[in-house]
Amino acid sequence: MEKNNALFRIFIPIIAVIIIFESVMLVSGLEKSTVQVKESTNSASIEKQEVKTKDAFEVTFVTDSTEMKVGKNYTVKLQALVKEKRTLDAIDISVKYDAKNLEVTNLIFDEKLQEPIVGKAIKEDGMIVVKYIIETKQGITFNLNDMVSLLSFDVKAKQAGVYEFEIATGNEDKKFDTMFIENTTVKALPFTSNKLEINVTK
Amino acid sequence: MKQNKGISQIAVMVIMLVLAIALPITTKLVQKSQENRSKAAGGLGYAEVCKLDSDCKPPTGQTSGFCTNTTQHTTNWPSFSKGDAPPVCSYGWGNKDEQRRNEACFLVGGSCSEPYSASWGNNCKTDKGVDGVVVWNLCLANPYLGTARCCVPDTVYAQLGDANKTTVTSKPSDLLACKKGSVVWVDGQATDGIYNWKCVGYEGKVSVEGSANKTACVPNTKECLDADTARVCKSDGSGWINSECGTAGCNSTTKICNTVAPTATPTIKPTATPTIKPTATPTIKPTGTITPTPTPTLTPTPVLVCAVGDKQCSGNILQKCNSTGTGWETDVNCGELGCNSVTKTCNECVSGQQKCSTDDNYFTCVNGKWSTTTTDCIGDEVCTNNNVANDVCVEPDYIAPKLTMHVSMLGIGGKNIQTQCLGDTITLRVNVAKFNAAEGDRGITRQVTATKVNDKFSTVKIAGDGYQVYEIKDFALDTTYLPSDKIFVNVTSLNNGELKLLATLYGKNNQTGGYAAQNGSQLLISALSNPLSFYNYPILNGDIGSDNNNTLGDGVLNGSDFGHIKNQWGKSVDSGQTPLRADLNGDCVVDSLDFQIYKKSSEEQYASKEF
Repeated sequence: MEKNNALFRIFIPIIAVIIIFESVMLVSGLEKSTVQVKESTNSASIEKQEVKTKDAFEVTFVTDSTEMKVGKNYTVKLQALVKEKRTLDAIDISVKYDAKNLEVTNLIFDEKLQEPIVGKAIKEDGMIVVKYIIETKQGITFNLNDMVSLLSFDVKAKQAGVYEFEIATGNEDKKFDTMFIENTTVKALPFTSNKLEINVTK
Repeated sequence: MKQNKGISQIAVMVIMLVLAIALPITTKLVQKSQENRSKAAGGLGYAEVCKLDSDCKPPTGQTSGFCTNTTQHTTNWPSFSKGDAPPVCSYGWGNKDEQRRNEACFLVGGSCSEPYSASWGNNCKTDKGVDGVVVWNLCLANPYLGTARCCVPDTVYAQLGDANKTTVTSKPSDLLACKKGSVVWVDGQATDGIYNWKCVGYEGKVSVEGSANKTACVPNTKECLDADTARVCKSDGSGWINSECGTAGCNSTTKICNTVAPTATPTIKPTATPTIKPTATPTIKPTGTITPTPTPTLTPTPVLVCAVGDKQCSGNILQKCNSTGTGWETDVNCGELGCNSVTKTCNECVSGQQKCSTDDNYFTCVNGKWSTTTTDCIGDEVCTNNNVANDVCVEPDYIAPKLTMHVSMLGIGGKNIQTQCLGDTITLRVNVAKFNAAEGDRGITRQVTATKVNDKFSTVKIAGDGYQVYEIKDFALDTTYLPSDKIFVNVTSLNNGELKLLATLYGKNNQTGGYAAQNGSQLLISALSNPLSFYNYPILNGDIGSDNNNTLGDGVLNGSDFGHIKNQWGKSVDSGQTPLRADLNGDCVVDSLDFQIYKKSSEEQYASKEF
């Protein structure tokens, strides 16, 4: 009998532990299953959330100084920092400026790119337009952190004031748009840009 | 005591063992139940499955499903219990709308009310008269009383309005043929003597067939064929049986022959009372007085003066024969326009007069009726405002000119350029607008056909040889375009047409370069000469597509158009086929000529020369 008691003393706690273990593990597993069901019902709305596309280029104006004098020439550069490796077929650039008060001359284009099919400042519209195309079938690949010199030009102010250079995105006129066209997909790649504000004094 | 303790320890042990075994089994069962529920829930919130029973049969070929009107909706739709409508079945567990949407369409009939084949979300009324909304073809009323109903076509004979009606004399109206659902005529001509049709339910998923025999007449109907012939339709509707009524005539009310009218009774004159003279010898004395027999009373026969239904004119009055044919009565007073003795109707107009229709043509009054066809005014004469007169066409105060234009398109046609993938005629879109037009006035835009002008090419060559000249003829301006107005002409191709032209502006005759709108137009209407020569500044070409789309231009030439050229580079189609989008000159191949066209047009896009 004593032997049986000893057996009970050993087995009852073991079985109790098993029950506690099952209770904790299985029931908590049940909870997980319920949570999964809840998540699955919400999955549609999660899928609908827009995935923000990463910008492929960061377009910036660069100048030695934003403080300028009337009648004096200053060079402004337009550069694109590659934020994501991409292969391009074409680059359209339009820069909006105040043609009444600023004179833009001496447009210089990137030597690595093919001579643009259009490259001029249009006074009537207050736009600098540059259109590069890459004729090779495979396009041109830009690697991460490459810096592309899109354009440089001289600017001379006719009178004092604060003026801006800004990348045009087709709002004024569809033909004045800025686009980085990807090879094969013909997608216009996303990019960011800054404004250049210059302060002209006499 | 020790024995009791041992028994209790065994009992505890057994209970704990049972618990240890039962716990995982129970857990598994609960999990299974949850899985079932989650499957049923799908994306719409079904949480409980109902069993199929004799009331709710699955559609053919389906072995499982659930009854809509006993299913509990846990999220989007509150529950509704079994109502008075027939149960409807659905099948499958998937989230496919198709399966759910059709669940109400597997039973034919039901107590539907409008709208019968309603779309999701439409308002409806349940058969308890409660306003509801259609959900999966069921009319569910707030607060979801469960009065679901089946909105599918009804049985056909009931739709004809008479359960016993299986014959018709003419094609039933759609509404009559299908009281519920849409009619699809299988044989609407009754070519084999039977009209056949289907009544189709929501989205064509369920239909019932209907048919009706076409008969010559409605069985057993009676009518007067003419004044002295009555007829009755055979009992099977296959034809008429005529009865000659003779002089008795057909009764227009009863539609049968009148009973035989008394023939004219002969006039019987009383015979003269015989005078009997006594012979001299012997003297015979009359024994009494001889009374003549009485004259019979005769009813006069009615005199028929006209046939029932006949009409005649009496002055300005249109008369009709009365129902007994014994006289005329007033039908209509025709008034000033008078009664027409030829047509025996009231005149609508005075014969010979004209009435303006639209588009400068007119109706003519013949025999008091307006003609159904119209006659065009001569030359530039116009008639407007439904004028009625003897001669309605008049010379207009001002005739706006019609423009004829000669144009060319950059890279298209020419001495050495083939256009096998373009026809001889091409379609363009032309917009003519006034310089300094009021805000919102977009001018006149029309789709026009341009035809080749033989052996005429542009002399100004933007790339390669001169290009084929096309003529746009008779582009009519309206009278709001006054002689003192100046106009711009903008020419381009259709969005999805064979050409990929860029809208090109013309503001000057013999223009040779891009025109800047701010220069103002030099096309003065009073000084226009036809044809206007725009062909020495070809319409720009190359608007192939847009960002990530090569089927529709975006109105500008940009890098995406070049990307599309590269993607289609070297591709070709057979002669006569629709050109590839990047085939800008229509020679059926995408090659360097197309690239040159794109390149030159891109440059010209920014050209705005001053004239």
